[in-house]
Amino acid sequence: MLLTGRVEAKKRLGPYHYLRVRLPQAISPLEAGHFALLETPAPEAILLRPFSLFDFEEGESPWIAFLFQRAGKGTEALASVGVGRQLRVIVPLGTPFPLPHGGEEVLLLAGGVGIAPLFPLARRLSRGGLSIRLLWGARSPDGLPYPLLRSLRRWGVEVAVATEDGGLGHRGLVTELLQDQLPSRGVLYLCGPEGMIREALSALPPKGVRSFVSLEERMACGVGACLGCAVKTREGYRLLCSEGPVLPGEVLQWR
Amino acid sequence: MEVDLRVEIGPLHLQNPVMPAAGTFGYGDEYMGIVDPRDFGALVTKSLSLDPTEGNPPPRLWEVPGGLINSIGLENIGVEAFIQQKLPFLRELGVPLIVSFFGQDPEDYARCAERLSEALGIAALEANLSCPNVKKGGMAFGSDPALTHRVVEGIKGATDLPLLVKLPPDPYHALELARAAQEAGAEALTLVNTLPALAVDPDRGRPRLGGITGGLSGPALKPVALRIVYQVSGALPIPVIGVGGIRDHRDAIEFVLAGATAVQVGTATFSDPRAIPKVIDGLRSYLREHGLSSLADIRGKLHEAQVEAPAEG
Repeated sequence: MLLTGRVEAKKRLGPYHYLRVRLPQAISPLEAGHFALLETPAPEAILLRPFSLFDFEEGESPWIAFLFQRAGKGTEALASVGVGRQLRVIVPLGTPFPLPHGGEEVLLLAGGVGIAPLFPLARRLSRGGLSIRLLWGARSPDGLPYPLLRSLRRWGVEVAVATEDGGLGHRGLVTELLQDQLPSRGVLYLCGPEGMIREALSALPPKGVRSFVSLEERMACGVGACLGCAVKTREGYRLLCSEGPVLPGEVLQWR
Repeated sequence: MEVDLRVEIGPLHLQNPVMPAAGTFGYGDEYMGIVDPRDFGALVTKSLSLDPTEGNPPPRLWEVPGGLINSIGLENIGVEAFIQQKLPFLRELGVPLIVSFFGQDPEDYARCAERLSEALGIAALEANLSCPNVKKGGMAFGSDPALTHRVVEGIKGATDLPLLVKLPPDPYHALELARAAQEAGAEALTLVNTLPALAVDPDRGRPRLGGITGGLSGPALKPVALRIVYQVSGALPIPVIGVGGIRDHRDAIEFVLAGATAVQVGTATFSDPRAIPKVIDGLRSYLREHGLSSLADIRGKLHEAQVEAPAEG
């Protein structure tokens, strides 16, 4: 749905930016893994920018929130956008994370700002009564903002962290925590840098653990019309906007 | 005053002169629920080939100041799948359907046109003779007047549908190419396609796009497109559909003043999916505000000015 939202709140969370956008009307059910295309106030920007839903409220006064880091002109402009600013937004887009089957253990793996789509998934699953474990890594402790860790723990999520500088938790890469945590039967949800995803997927046992990755690619239309956001998979090109952004790990193919 | 946005492009009668540019509105069903194509003057599909085309490796998009470079590589599901899976829905929409297509060689173009004209519900074809992102089936045909003539003639021999021919933004040969397409029987020209372009990552020493080069669209292309529309429409009677960087109705009016009968909106749809209906509404308001009854009142008005067309380079 194409809407005009209004920036309602923004704050820094460590190296990340949090942006909450009030929506003018109720929209169809939002789920973890969905994304939105958001207008950026950069004067040069041509395209809307895709962001995973980091948080959202449905019902009569709905809003959606994003967690992002500065990566270019669009995100720089969004980082300094004023509260009250109206922004065009198309939401919800994409296909959300598939839910675990009964009896599957659930493990989440996030690298840095890759926590964004996994945050609402962790909440959803833990409120559903599942015991959830999250491995979250960053370069340094500021990449693991305390307010987010606190929320996760409050929901009952068992969180283990890793930092490359050793400032918090395991010293090293978050994937090094994976070895001891991998279930024999379960589902792994992940989002983060390509290196982390590749390492994690290669660590999976040949059978028993399903994996779902939230991916990122440059995007234009968001609805499957322009074919701009194709990623190479073992089954040919897949569009991240309409067939993703969540894809099963086993179909991914790296360039 | 009652304003009338209806236009005729050869045998095509449209309720208004605004349509999407090929490739920016998919096969017409993707944007349902976000924007209603029934309001458009026509619906133009993604370019189709006889066989499905896989397209170029990612990344396929790179934004630059004032524009967008794409390297989609004409990925499409192929004519048969289009006819089976997409056409029934498009037929039901009731908006005039213009199917864009391309081939690997002149015979391939003709076969593709022939197969499409066997299907019901297509109002016109648009031959893409100018995609910069494939080696064949693109630029090579649209940059050579003799080859353009041959391809268009072959298509016209294979279909009774009205034919639009989409040409590249080649300011030095636009008129020759346009003339070749007109003489070979094209009913209208779509001017222009994207401009071949390259973006480089200076840190990694690599191209930004998986297909290495791409096609530039968006506002940066508009002045180039306008000049070609102006030049061709001033010299030839064939109707011209202007396309290149149109974001709002004022941009569209510029193309009409330069001589365009209709316009296509492409990249702007990505920034605002309601760009096309906004252009249509804006044109209506513009006519009212200026006391005009139709766009024909101002079409090609630039040619009345004492401006000499530049010599052909």
